Parts: sequence; C-alpha cells; structure tokens
Amino acid sequence: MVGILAVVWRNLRKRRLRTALTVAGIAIGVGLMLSLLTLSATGSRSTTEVIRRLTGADIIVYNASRVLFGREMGVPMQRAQQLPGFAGFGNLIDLSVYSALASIPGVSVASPVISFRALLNSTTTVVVYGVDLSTYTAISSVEVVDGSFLSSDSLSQAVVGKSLAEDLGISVGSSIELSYGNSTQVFSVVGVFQTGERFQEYAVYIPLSLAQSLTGNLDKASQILVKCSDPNAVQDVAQAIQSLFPELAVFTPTAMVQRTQQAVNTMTTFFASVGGVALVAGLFGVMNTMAMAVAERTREIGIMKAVGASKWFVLKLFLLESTVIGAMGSAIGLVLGVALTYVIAPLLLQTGATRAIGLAGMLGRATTSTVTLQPIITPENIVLALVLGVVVGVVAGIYPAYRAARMRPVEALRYV
Amino acid sequence: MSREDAVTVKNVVKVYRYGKLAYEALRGVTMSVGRGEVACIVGPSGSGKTTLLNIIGGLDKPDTGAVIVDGVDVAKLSEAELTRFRLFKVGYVFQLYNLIPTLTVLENVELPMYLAGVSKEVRRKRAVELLEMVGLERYADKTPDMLSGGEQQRVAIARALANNPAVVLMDEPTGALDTENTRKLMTLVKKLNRELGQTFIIATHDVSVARECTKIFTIRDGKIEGVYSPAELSKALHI
Repeated sequence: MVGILAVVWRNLRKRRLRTALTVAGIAIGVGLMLSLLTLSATGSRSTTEVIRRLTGADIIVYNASRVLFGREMGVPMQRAQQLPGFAGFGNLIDLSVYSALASIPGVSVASPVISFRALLNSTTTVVVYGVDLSTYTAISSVEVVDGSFLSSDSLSQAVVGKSLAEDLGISVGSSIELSYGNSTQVFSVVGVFQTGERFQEYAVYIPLSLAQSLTGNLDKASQILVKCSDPNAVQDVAQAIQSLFPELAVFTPTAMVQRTQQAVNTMTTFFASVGGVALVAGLFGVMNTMAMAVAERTREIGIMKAVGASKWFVLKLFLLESTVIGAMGSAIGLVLGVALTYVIAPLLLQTGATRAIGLAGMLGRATTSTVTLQPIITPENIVLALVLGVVVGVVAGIYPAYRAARMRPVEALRYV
Repeated sequence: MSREDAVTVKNVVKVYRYGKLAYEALRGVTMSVGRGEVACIVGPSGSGKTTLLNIIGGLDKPDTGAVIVDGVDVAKLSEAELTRFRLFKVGYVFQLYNLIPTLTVLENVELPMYLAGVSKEVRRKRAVELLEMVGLERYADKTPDMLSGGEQQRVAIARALANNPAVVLMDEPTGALDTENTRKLMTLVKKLNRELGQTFIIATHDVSVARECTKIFTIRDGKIEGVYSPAELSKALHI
C-alpha cells in the first residue's frame, strides 16, 4: 500500500482530460488573481515612487498673479516657463510669505527655491535652482554621483547635471560661469547629480542667496516647497495656506498622484472581479468533477467501507483529491499569472506613470523621472494566490467528499 | 448460544421502507454458525440472503433482534464501532468488482491492514503471504483489471483474511464464475478452512457451492426454512 497521496494521484491520472480541464479552470482564476494583485501592488508602488521622486514636497506654493493658465494637470503654466524652452521670470514670492508658511500648523518644513534660466560659460542655456541648503535637503534629495551636494549657503558652489557635465567636459573641481542678464558669477563645481533624464540634467544647483544676488531678487523665491508633518493632512494644510494667502497658487503633487492611483485602483477592482468570477467558476468546476468522481466510484466507496474504511478516511481521500487539483491549478496559475502580468502591466501602468513623470518634469527640481514599470511579484502575492487556489480546491471538495463519506455502504454496494 | 459459535442471529427482523411501502426483508431469522464451519445460506433471489449477510457483517442494522459475532452484539454498535467491527471481525467477498481498481493486487490485500494502522513492513509481508496462500503472488504488482474474474475473487479472499477476521462473509462469490473457477474457489475456501480454521458464511444459489459446505441454511421469504448437513443436501434443495 502506497501513501494515500499516491492513490489520489493515480485517480487523477486515470481521468487525465477531466483533471486537466478542471485544473485549467482553477489556473485561470489564480492567474488572473495573481496578475491583478501584482498590478495593484505595482501601481501603488510606482505611484509612491513617483511621489518620492517628484520633489519630496507635499505642497508647492507659487505666486498666483503669475499663473497664466492652470490647464495642464493643474500645474500653473508659469512653472513651465522655467523649463527649457521658456525664459524669464514672472512675479516672485516675497520671503516674508515663507516665514509665515513655516509657522502654519501641520507644516514640517518649508523651503524657498528660486529657479531661472541662465547661460553657462556663455554658451549653454541651463536651468538654475537656487536652494536653501538646510531646508531643501530636509524635503528633497538629489542623487549625487560624484563629489557631494552643496555644503554651504554662502560659498560659490555648484552641483551640475551629469549630461551637462559630460557634454561640456565639466567635472568636480571645475569652475563654471553663470550669467543672468548682465551679471555673471563664477562657481566651483563640487558635485555631479543624475536623474536619468537627459533634459533634466541640463541643470545646476547653487545656494539660494547667490541665486538671489545673481538675479537681483533679494528676499524673493519663485516657489516654496512645503513638507507636512502628517502626510494625510496635506489637503488640510494646503487649504490653510490658500485661505491665508489667497493670491498664491497652492499645488499639491500628491493629490495628482492620488488621482492616478484611483484610476489604477478602479482598473484593479475590475480585474479583481474578473479574477473572482473566474475563481468561482473554477470552484464549480472542481465541485462538478468531484461530484462525478464520487458518483463513478460509488462501488469503490462501498467496498472500502465494507472492508473497514472510516468516514474520515473516505472524506480525506476525496478532499485530498480536490486539494491536489487546487494545488496544481495554483501552480499552473502562478506561471500563467506571471506571464499575464508582464503582458498587461505595461498597458495598465503606462497611463498613470507617464502622467506622473510628465508632472515631475515641471516641478521645482530636477527629478529622477524614470519610474520603474517593472511589475513586482511579491512573495506575499505568490503565497496568497497559491493559498487561494488550494482553498478553492478544499472548499469545492468539501461537499462531494462529505457525500462520499456519509454514503451508506449497503447502498453504495448495490451500485455496480 | 454456544461459546463455540462464531455467529449467532436471534429473531432478526429487517423492514425496508420506501415512502409508504414497506418490504419485510427478514421476518425473524434465527441461526447460528460454529467456529471453523463453512456455512452457506441458500435461497432464491429476493429471499433475504444478502440482507442477512449484510446484517451479520455490520453493513446494515436489524430493526429488532440480536446479531452476535465473535461475542459482540452488532445490533448495539455505534457507527464508529461498526467501522472497527468491519475492519477487524469480518472479511467480505462480493460477487463482482471486489477490488479497488487504482490499487495493485498487493495493495488491495494490504488495504485492511493499512486502515488498521499496521506498519508497512508487516502488512507487506503478510499481504505477500496471503497472496501465496491463494496462489496469486505472481500478480502482486498487477492492477485488478489484468486478472480474470476467478483470480480477482481469490485476491478478494486474500484481502478478507488480512486482519484475521472471526468470519469471512461471501455474497454470491461464484455468481460470475464458470464451473472450473467455481471449483477452484471452493477448493481454496476448504483449504483455508482446513489450514487456518477460518469460518465462512456463503450466500449462494449454486448447488456446487452448497455441496462443499459443512452446514446449509435454506432461506425463503425472509425466514430460515431449515438447517441441513451436506448429506441432507438434496432434501434441502428440494431436488
């Protein structure tokens, strides 16, 4: 006598086609479930990634008088003027606003940034970000690949983008000349940063005070980045700022990303229902197969009981059979789910993520915009999908197995 | 009831009900089979042979009366106790399809011992011995469908003996066999009876089977008509 599992396996092999079809039913359900769990996880992860890489700021404040049109994703158009292709300053924010902002409840850090276009070494147009070192680094982080980030608010230091550095042969220790209007100043390069996007790397970070003096905008900023102490209270803080300074434009990048997340969630829910329906259909498939197996083997059940098999033994025999079907369905569904994920993921995530990337490019910082679209199949989701398939197998098997177990031997034996 | 009795049946009544219809399968059966006997119950179809056998074997319960097998009143056992009773006290051989098709011949013989929790080495060894006893050890690893009807019945007998039952119950064991295989089967039954002292109760309407038994009960319309010795056989069978 071999183990009970081997017997279960022989019975399944005996009805190969039926077993295969039943397993396929479970596999499709599990596959769909796994891919949607993965997509949902990937969706929210990439969204989080986008938020993290945007600016680190929960709220960005502009001077509303400069806002021409907030059509494009709610981003004030004047911000676009500071991107390559636009030139000039609009009205700036007085730094007194900054002090007031910092004292609003819920605001953890506020950081003034002045950004403008300047000529580098009299040849190349670059975007310059003047940042307040201590507050900026508390909100944002710049990926420095060589040297270090600015170390002082008053020294003539600069951190340049990698593409820019490579194109112009600039390296740590080089001196560069930045010109704005009629004024020119020399900076020594202390670091090189990268974002992964060439156009964003045509940028230079310098201390805020030097940027202000270079452009002649003392005590001014083009935008103020705000980080909130409670990430969930961002909207409240944004409203507080807006009511305090009606003339300013208050923008919350996370809100944008949240909307994207909602879109992803809607799609996930849709796939979840499809996967759920498929699993339920699979469940009925297993139930049907098991009911047939019990009916076909009525005689066998009678013999086993006559020979002295307990109810529990018969129950176990059939329940194990449906469990094995569920387990096989899970295993195949796993492979199917992974394949499906890699097919659907790009279609599903592109929309959300690329919108967020576009957004990132418009914010007060050179950001890393390459958001990983690679689906992440987490061990948790794999386990969950496997468990789901096995549970379906067990649940589907309970009733037929119970019927087999409680079959009266005399009646079962009458069946030939 | 004698202490030597393997099976004692007293005033057993069994009524089957189908909705409003009631069918009296057994109408007060009393009989006893001693240890080491090969008894047979002879009667036409519908006379209650199978019902009686099923009640003795703990597959069915009598409505009234007592059934004592190896000192145990089967009628009083709970369902779980009946399962153990079937496992240890009786061995069963049916007319057809006795074996589990997905198990090998050896595994079929091992099955009752597996269910009884006998260790693998012990039950395998005993299963091989039992197959040798019925002369089919060479088919140990074959599946039942590769065996002839007669061979399958002999495997079923080997399986019935696995847990040393007090009695082996056979319900029309030769019903599907030809004369030659019937003769072989009865030769085996007598050999096992002689060598092991195994008690058998065989329900049959085959005269050639009845002829080989030590005690013959005739049953008709749910009642025992008479008990006969082999010598009285022709009288018993009304021939």
